[in-house]
Amino acid sequence: MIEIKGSIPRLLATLIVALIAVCGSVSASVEVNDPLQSLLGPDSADSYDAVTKRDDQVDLKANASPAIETVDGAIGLFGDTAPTVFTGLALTLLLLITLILFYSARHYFFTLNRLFGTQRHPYIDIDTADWPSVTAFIAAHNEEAVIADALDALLQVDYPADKLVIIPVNDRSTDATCQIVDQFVKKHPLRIKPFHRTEGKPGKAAALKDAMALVDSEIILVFDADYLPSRGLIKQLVMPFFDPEVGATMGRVVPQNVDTNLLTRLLDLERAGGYQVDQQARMNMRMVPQYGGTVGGIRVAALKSIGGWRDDVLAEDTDLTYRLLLNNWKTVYQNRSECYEEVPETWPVRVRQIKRWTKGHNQAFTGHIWRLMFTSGLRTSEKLDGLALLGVYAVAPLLILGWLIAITLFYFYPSALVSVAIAVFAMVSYSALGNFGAFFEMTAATYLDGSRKRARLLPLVYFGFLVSVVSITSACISQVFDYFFKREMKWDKTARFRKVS
Amino acid sequence: MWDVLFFALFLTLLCLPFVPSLRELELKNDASPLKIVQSYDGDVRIFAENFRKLVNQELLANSSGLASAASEKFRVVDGGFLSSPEEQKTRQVSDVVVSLTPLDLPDGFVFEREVYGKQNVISGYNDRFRAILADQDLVLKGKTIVTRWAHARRVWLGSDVTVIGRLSADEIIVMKPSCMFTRVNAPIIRFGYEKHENMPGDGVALSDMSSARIFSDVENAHMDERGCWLVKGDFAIPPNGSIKSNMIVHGDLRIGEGTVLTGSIKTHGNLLLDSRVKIMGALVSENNVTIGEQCLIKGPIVSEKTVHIEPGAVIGTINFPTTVTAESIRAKSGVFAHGTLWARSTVKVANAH
Repeated sequence: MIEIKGSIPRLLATLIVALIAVCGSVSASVEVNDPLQSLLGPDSADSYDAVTKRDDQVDLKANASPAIETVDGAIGLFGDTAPTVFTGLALTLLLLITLILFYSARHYFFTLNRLFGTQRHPYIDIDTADWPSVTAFIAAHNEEAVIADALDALLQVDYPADKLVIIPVNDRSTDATCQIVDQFVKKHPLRIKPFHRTEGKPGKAAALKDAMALVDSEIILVFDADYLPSRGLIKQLVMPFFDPEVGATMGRVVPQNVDTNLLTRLLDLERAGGYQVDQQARMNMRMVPQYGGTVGGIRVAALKSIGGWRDDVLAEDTDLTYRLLLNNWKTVYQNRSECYEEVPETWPVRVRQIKRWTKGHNQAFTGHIWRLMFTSGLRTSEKLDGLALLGVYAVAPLLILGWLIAITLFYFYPSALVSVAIAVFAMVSYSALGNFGAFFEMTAATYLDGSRKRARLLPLVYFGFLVSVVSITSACISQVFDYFFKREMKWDKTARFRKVS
Repeated sequence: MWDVLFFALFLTLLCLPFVPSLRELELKNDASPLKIVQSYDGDVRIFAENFRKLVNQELLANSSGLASAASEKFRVVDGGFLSSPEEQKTRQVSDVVVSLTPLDLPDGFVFEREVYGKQNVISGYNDRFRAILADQDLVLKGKTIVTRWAHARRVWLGSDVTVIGRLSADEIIVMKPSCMFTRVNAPIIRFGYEKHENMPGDGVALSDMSSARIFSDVENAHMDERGCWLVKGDFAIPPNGSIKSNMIVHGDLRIGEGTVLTGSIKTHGNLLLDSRVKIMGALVSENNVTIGEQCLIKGPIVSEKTVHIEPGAVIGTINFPTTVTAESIRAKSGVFAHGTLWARSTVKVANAH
């Protein structure tokens, strides 16, 4: 048996074997399709053609599967409705091509703006002001591994101490989170107000909703327990709120556990593209930067005006962004307001996370799309981008649907137009899946961050995208079943990997 | 045979991009998290503070007879600066200059390293500094340039002085016209040496024109769910108005003379304040902001283009310093500010008229 040592050679060998298997099976099927040549022998080339043409006609009629008969005058699988069905499928495929082209173009547009356009950071230089009162929530459910570090970091921020209250929201923890929080409260009784929640609906949004009873400040900031704010971060997140139109702010999350394994490195690239390019481009073009649920702030008056936190949604951040937008509050993205976070280190955790995001995002889609289309007072750019953002998680299942339609059309209706459409679909879906659109974004992000060598990992991102496409599609299908069978969607906390110190 | 070659080429081309990927995955040449300076808090005085600490350590080391830890050469002067013949010829000083007594510098010199005076420091005309620090007063004479930072207890700038980096003071900065800088911070910043007869805000009559009357006939304005006046399009507030809420204007806004607004303003278009307007809140504009004479603004003031400030205007207060931030700032002689003025390109001091 051949033993291959080292992870790179093993992975390469696996790839090569897989490709050979695929190519081999394709080659085998090609050979089986030509049995006559082997019977007639190598010298029978001239007569072979004449014989095979006659026999081919006989074989086709006698042995052909109904599925490969041409539509005109043939007994097709779909009977007399065949032309209508195929036209419908072809038009659907063309629509999907248009949609995916749109999203690809959107990636390019954002990246080019980020590289060459005017960058907007209008609030970042406010260093002296009469700062508003702030409450910093730390959402914590079984966070004994990380919460002490988060509290330490918040206690050292540069913000007037009399205007900052820290509220760790201990949501039904069963580990030592409660004890750790209480130790901090003992040392800093004026600065930390604990909120120990022992019952109620599970989920971050539900916990924050209950904790709002303790808030009497103008602004609330929300941090997850694994986040480590820098000294200047609070001021940076609060600065935009001097603008009376701003309802929420969002900073940039930066993965801290980048070097753990392949998954964390891929997520680092994904986050970089999403924040450094996507979010900042939307800020530049006055579109819809998204509030991300952590490393972000919300104006209390804005939150109250839109009905407060909702505990019946899985993605409270997306939902909040749209509720604010539809009530004329803007969300500001601050690219220089960076904070470390922990990304999932195992694929099952990652898949669960993305499934939750999918379902939550789709909830926002169904909840807000009509109102977004017909609300007045929004810029055209906000409406268009808002619609595009809502549909982001629908792209993956539509991509798979497109492939299914393409394959169906290829076998049942192989006309030139369909072949061209399939070719175009193959090209654009490959592009949307990661060839240039999203790759371009991530490469630009690594360039802007000055960490260009990690762009070498981009080919591997393709496999991450495949996992995402399958997970998102699975979540979408599951969500449809949830709806019809009235299943409750459960909030699933992302696991932590930092060890208790 | 050709099939085999074709597939071999295909496999090679397919696998080629994965080689650097797998190599990077294995070797982790660039696998560190993006660097975030956890201790960074944007303090304008950070360079001055760090330099002062470094100098004090160096002086302590010198007096104790210990070896110098600094990489640059320090020149400690006592009783005045004397340049060497070489320096007089080249007009360049490459040492860090530290003075224990009042320091008077010659004209037309380039100081390539920092200059620190434990008492007053007076530059020459047309000098060029990398950075300059004074524990008491700092006087930068005409046409002097500072390329990194300058800090003192009190700072006085002559005409045509340029500070490309940070300029800060513990008490006051006073500058003559034609000065340029990018970021300045002090409890009191005085543009120009002229005095104004009236304090800003004087003569502002208590208005009987409430916001209800101001907006009563305006079709494109309404009080929205946020409790602020929302105006779609351009708008002009008549003189001597009184508004007690925030305002958001989707076009240009002009605020008439003597108006008092208790709240903040955001405009998508230009924002123009006539004279003697009092704003007890922030001014935010996606375009230009013009602040008329004798206006009083609590702040902050944020503009994505240019802020023009006319003579006699006061930005912020001594108890509530604030920030003016814009692409560029043009302040005329006679303006007072408390806090920070920070332009992404330049702040320029112009003559009053």
